[in-house]
Amino acid sequence: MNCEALFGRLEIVDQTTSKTWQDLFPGLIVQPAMSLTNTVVTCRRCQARYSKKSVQLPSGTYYCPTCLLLGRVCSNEYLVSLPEKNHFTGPTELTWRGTLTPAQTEAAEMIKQIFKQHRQHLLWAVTGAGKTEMLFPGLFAALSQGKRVAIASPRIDVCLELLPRLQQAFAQTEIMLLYGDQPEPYHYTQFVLCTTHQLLRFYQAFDVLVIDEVDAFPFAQDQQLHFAVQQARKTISACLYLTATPGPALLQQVRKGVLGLSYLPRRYHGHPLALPHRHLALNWYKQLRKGRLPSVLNRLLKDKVQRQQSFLLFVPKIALLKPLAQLLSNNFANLKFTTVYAADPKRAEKVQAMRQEKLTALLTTTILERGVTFKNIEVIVLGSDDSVFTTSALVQMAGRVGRHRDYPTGRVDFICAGYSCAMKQATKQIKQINQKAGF
Amino acid sequence: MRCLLCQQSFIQSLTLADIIYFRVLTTSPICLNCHRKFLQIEPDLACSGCGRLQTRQGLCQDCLTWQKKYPQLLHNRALFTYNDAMQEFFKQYKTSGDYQLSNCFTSVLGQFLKKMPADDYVPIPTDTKSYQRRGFNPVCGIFGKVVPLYECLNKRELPVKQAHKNRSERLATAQPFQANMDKCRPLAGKQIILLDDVYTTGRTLFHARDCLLRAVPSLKITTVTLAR
Repeated sequence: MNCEALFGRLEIVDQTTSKTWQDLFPGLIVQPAMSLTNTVVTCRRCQARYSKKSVQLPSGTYYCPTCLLLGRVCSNEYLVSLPEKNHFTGPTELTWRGTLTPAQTEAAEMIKQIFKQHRQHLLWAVTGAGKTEMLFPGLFAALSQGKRVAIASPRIDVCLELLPRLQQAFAQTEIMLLYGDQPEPYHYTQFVLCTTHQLLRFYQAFDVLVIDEVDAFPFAQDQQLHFAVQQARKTISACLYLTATPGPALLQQVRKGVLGLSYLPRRYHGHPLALPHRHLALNWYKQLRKGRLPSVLNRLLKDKVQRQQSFLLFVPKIALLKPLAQLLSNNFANLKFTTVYAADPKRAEKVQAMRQEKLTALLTTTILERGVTFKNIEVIVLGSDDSVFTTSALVQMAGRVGRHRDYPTGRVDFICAGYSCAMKQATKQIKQINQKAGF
Repeated sequence: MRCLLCQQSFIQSLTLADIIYFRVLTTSPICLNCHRKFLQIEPDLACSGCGRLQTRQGLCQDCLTWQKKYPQLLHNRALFTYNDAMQEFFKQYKTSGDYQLSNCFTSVLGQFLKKMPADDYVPIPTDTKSYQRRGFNPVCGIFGKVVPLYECLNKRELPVKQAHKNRSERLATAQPFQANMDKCRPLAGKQIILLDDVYTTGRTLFHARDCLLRAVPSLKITTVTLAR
């Protein structure tokens, strides 16, 4: 065991190993993996609480089912780590060759200050504002000072898309990508890119921690992951939350004064966000069940096919994909499209085909709501009043449109059987942001 | 309820019989979607030797090979086919050590074993080291809540785990079991069922049966596994 691999990292070991490691690595922080009371066990890694009876093994020990995928924590084991020593040399040059707009430069300068002054901050930037690029100067400054840096996102797709861009910008620094089923074992690097769950494996490791897409599932709903963030950063450290659609919990923290807030309401190409058009189709679901395309949808699709416009069609349930695909292929024989959902084995290939414009349309669930960019795209949301489409999901889906410099506008259509609160709020939020940007 | 396998919340729908009859309500810990992924084996379509699902009746090719070595076959009965979903289940249950999953098949196994009465049910043991690492015996976990178990076998540690071997290596495995003589004596003349989690090649179960028969020759033994 190399001592560097323990810097700021939590490892689970049994009693004998913890004894030998204590001799081997002076300064080792050892704590029991679970704390016990008369009736309740609490996992020290993820703070999940269980009644003793429900998680007892026949051998008499207790385990934590919540963070099982990160390696099982048992009550007879110990969590050990070494304090982060920042054994890094740091890069000397930022290998990114792009340029920032004046608004981006301003935001980038602010991010640099946040990192330097170890502040907690929320950056509310519209979809397609160029958030990643704005981070580069700040990250470079932190890295060159020998600080340890992590970017975490609840979505693995976001991480995978970020990695090549970051590698290009920081060619001198090794970036460790951590996620659930990754093949490569962990080793000590200055720059870590990971899913938010992986932060549970760190203990006071990072000087700078950036959480991308804070409002995405499962981070927003999961108390455990908020704990992970606090646990993974050093006591004196900077924490930056990035989002296009902050939820009420984050905004409350802003009001309390725990978080700083700044807006970036303008997209990098300077065009406003597309405002959704709402169409009331009271019986769209019934029509679909009877094997007919809802007339509103039919009209919209005809228009898109005529203009040869590529589009995304979002549906609330996976079960709707198949009948809808059948109807589409019957009514629009020339339309090249496919369906994609979370557990689809060919998901990555299909999205790639869409990017390369081999397909004109994708029928999908909420999985493509964020983190994906298509050059020239329009959006239809069928059943936008469904409870799976939260405010942030709707804003994100609308935000897929007009992300490219050459195609900055496009239509967004919501088809619904009634106006939901989330829909109203989403429209309001988009209007507000456009207003802030001066449109 | 939250499904133990996919973590989605689900509502178990009651049948009319559930409402009318005064009986204990059997709640399933896994949702219908997950349950559908497991392929239950129809007893009529199973191989009479190993219990695998096949299209014709009679013995399968593997059992014909076994028959040359053991004229008396195991007459194994398996509940499910070992498909991707089952593999995923065992990975999480045995490799990751999620003991809560042992409840997944309790009610189905209960109905299944009710049709096969026996004097005693003997689980396949694990070796001490695996037990210490996992904290439980996977076979006892699955079957322990269904029937009373009678543990009378011991297993010595294998240098390489069965799961890490290929087929021919598995078949060449030497006898890993030892019978606990004190516990075996009362079994004389009884009808018992040997229980295991998966029947892959049949090697383990044949060894276990050999071992028990050598200790108590008058035993009548059949076997039941969760998956085949």
